[in-house]
Amino acid sequence: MAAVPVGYEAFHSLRRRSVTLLCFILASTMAMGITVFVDSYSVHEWDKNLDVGDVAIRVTGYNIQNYIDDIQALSSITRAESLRYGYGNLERPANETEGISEFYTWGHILTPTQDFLDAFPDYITLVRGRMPENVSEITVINSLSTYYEVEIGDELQLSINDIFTPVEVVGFYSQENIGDSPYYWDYESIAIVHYNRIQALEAQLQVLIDVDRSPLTAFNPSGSLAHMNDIDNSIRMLDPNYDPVYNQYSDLWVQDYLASGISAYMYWVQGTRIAEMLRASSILLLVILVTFLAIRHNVNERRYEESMLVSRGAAKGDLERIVTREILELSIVSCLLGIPLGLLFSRIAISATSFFSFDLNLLMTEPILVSLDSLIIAVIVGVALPMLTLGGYRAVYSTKKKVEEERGRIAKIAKGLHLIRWDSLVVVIGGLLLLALSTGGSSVTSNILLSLLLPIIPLPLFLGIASLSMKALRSGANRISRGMKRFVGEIPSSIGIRRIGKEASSAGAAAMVLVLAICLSWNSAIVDVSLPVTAEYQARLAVGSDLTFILDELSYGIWDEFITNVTNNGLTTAASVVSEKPLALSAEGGGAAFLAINPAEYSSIGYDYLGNQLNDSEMSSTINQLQTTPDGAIVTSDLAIAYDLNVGDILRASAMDESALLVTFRVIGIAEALSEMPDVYDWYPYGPYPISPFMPYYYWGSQVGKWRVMVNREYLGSQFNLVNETSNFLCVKTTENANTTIIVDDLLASGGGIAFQDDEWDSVYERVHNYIDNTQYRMERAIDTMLTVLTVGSIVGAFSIYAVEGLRARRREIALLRSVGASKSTIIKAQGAEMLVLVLFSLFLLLLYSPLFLSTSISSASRSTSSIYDVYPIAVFPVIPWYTILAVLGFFIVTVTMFIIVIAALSSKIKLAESLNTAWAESGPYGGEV
Amino acid sequence: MNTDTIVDLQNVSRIYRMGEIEVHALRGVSLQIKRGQAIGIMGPSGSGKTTLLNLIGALDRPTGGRVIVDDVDITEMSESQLTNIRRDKISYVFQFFNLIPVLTAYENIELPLLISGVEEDKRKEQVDHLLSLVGLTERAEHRPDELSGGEQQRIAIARALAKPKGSASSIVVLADEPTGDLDHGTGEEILEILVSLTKGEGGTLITVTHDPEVGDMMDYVYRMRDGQVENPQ
Repeated sequence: MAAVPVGYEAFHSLRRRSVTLLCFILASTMAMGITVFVDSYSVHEWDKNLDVGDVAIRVTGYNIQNYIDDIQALSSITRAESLRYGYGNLERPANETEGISEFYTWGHILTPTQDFLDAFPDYITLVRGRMPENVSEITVINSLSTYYEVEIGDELQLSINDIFTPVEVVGFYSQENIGDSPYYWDYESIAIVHYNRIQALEAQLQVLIDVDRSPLTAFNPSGSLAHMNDIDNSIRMLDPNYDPVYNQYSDLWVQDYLASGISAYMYWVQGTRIAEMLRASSILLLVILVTFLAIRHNVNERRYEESMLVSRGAAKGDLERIVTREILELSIVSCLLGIPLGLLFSRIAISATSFFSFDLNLLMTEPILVSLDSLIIAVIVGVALPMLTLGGYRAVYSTKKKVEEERGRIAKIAKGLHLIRWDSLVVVIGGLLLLALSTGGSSVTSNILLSLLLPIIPLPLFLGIASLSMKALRSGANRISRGMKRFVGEIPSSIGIRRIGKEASSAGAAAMVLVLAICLSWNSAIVDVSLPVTAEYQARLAVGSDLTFILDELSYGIWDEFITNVTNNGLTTAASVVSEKPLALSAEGGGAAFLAINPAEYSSIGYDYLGNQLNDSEMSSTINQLQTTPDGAIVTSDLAIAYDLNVGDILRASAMDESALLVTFRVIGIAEALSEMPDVYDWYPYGPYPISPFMPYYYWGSQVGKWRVMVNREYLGSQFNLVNETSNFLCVKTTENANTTIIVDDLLASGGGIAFQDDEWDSVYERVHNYIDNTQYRMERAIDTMLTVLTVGSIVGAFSIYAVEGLRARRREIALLRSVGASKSTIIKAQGAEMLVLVLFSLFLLLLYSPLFLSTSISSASRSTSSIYDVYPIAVFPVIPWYTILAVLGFFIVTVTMFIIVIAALSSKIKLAESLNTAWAESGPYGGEV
Repeated sequence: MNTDTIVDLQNVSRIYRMGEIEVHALRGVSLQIKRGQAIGIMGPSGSGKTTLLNLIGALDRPTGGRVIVDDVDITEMSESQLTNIRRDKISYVFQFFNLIPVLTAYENIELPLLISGVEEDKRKEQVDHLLSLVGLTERAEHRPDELSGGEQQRIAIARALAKPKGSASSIVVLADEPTGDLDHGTGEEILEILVSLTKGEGGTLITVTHDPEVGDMMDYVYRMRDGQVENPQ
């Protein structure tokens, strides 16, 4: 501008700035809180990723033996030693007479020197026996003993050069960081042999290195990565021909586990920060709404000053620049204040063990990690959000102005929309669409397009309801006032309540903020309770009981003893053996899994697809009928539809082997889904493969509980050899919330492990705890807790704006009432009545909107309980925690009420003369809203 | 105490302190206003006219001296006592009308009667009477933003006169530039209504004005300058 008229900066208002700042702080606090929490929590991920064991780096390459001394001399390297090894095969032929099964495996064969063992004493741990002392001896990995029953003294065949020679097992060893596993690819090595067993031409060398890890810190992951990369590069540079610019191929190939761990950590942190912020998009919507209201308030409060300045020759653009500058300044200040606040909020999250459950010790014990990235994100969000909202506000306002002045194409469109009542249309269409999608179940959540659409629909619905609510307030305030007269009195209802109609746009917005805040908190509370219950009920369907063991047919002789041990355990109450066999149903190859049960026993152990005990479910009578109708069969609904089966029809099935034995059943019931059993794997070296029946393609872990038939075990046993021709399981009912790991550990300790196949078992308890103990789940609950507390701030912001908007008029009104003799209590009642109606209106909207919003978010949340491959008949079991719901509602109502009381009390303390003698006119042609 | 005196100011002063700066709005003003009179207060801007009116109307407290309204010393009264005084004895007519925007014309006039606890049928009777006095019976259900300036000021006058029956002679109507926001013709009309209705109901009118023509309609005009009355009666 050419010249700044005097008085431009005279119209500053501390109150306007304070209210605007209060609202802006929300954005940066939220961003900072989420990112700092993720960063602080990520220290555990850092520890996990950097737990690579003693060996940090492995180096292999051409003529590596010539570089060992140089590698050892490098700085930052604390120890380095070469490890000699070969690559070979190990096998044991079967001996049926002695009941020995064959196995065949391959992998690295080590010949560690004493220097190596001294440098890395924990790399190899001798579990039993001893190290080999000659070329005919071998010490093998302990997994071979666990899974293939190899014992000391056994003779195995070892081949390093394609020629098998016998070797005697003299010991077993384990390796750090490698768990017990039947899979060959999990073995870092399979055996240790005498040095001379591997010829020079067959031998390979690698250098194992450990480094000084003290410079590595989660507080500086990029610096840590750079440090490791420097070490890697210094190793590569030992090759004189290597040049990072001109010849990037070094003779030395470096495998840096620490660098990989750090990279994985950085990738995880970055992704988690963004994912959690996106997850908080509903809260972000709330923050944007409050920011919008704050900016509108900021602009509206200046309109008189602006009008006066414009009348004195100031350009509109100059005034807009002043507003832009103030918004920018306030957003920067909000970042400075929001950052420490965000830190505080992140501690709330870090101490949350689940939704609104806190362990205060965690406040002290958990680290706090503030990364540069999180500061940058907080600043960007804290500044960008208000500035973008300002741009949006200006776009909306100029459009509105054009519409009011009936200028341009937009005015015509707006006029048309007004006639069509766009908000009613949006609410009706959005509501119907939401209803359709939220009742679609797994067919919606498994469809990418629909599942993306589902969480988006509440947004236009929210806007439509917001618009309708404001119109309702505007037109209905008089009616509400008349209705409330007998409750609050004539003056409070006439003045206090009708005021809401006059300030409908900010009153409606404040109401919607309250509604959305409560909805979001309820959503978090419901999801927190529903997801573990969903995980539990889904696990019941997948596991078939509380705890299921896969029985080993080779240990049939001790099954009874095993079952007795199980039922004698204090944490179990009942057990039953079930058998499963795949049978073909048609010549084209379609088949199903037949689950054979003892109905009397299994009805008190198994569960239906709704998570109910079978004897306490809709299936109880059908299960009983299975007892009295031995050839009865309960089929799943998809099978019934595919084969056009009804109750009473005959079901013909045949074995899938050469015998193709035909078995007939009578359909006695049709169920939505039936219990599954844990997958059975055969530990063939080529495996693992589940014993897969010939199933429709989608059987592969996709539809849980589908395409199954439940039959009587005794009847199936009359047709097949249950031990050899079926998979057998011991289904166990435990006491409530029993820790099944304790049960299994007890059984293994007493030698019972031999009875179940390869230590295979599954339990509801394990699945549920794997789910709720996993990092992502815990982080989501903690962040939900933090964001719920933050929503209180958004409510305070929105109601502050409402209270402050038109403050001059409100103060004059109060002064006028006092000047005509109204007592303070009458005035406070008027303020209170106004806020009471606003809160009641909000509660009414809550009843209207919350079912729509909650049904969507619960349906969306169900995706997190099902894996990519498993789709359950019920995507989510919604549980309403009524106490928590009421507590949250009460919490918000109390917060708003206290706020109202404070505002009402402050409003009554005004200077009469000053308020009544002011020169600004609010009524008539000078007033009205923007 | 002379029962003819409705307002008695005894050496009243009012000092406004803004940081280190002191503004002496009134300096030892003493005057007495008789019951049933129409009094004008004139003077240049900053002479203390509005401050004087605020003190008489119990909207403000004097820094020194005493303010006695209808034989009641209101100088040291508590806020709730002042509320009663405003309810029973004092009415205001402001330059910018100060009607409550969410209330209709009828309701604005009814408001003081509601506060005083007058029964509904008596309220209706009185409000209808006042509406007819100011000639706005047909505009009773309109809100202030639907009325012209003159109509709003007439409603404000009717509201000022809405006191429980029998108390008219104790009423002091304080009008601060009642015609300041109106055109000349309307202003004249308003002032005539104000004077005639106030005196007609037995009340006392004290008007602050810049308009000499207004002064001509008053029984007495006090002139103020620099916080002092130049021509006490």
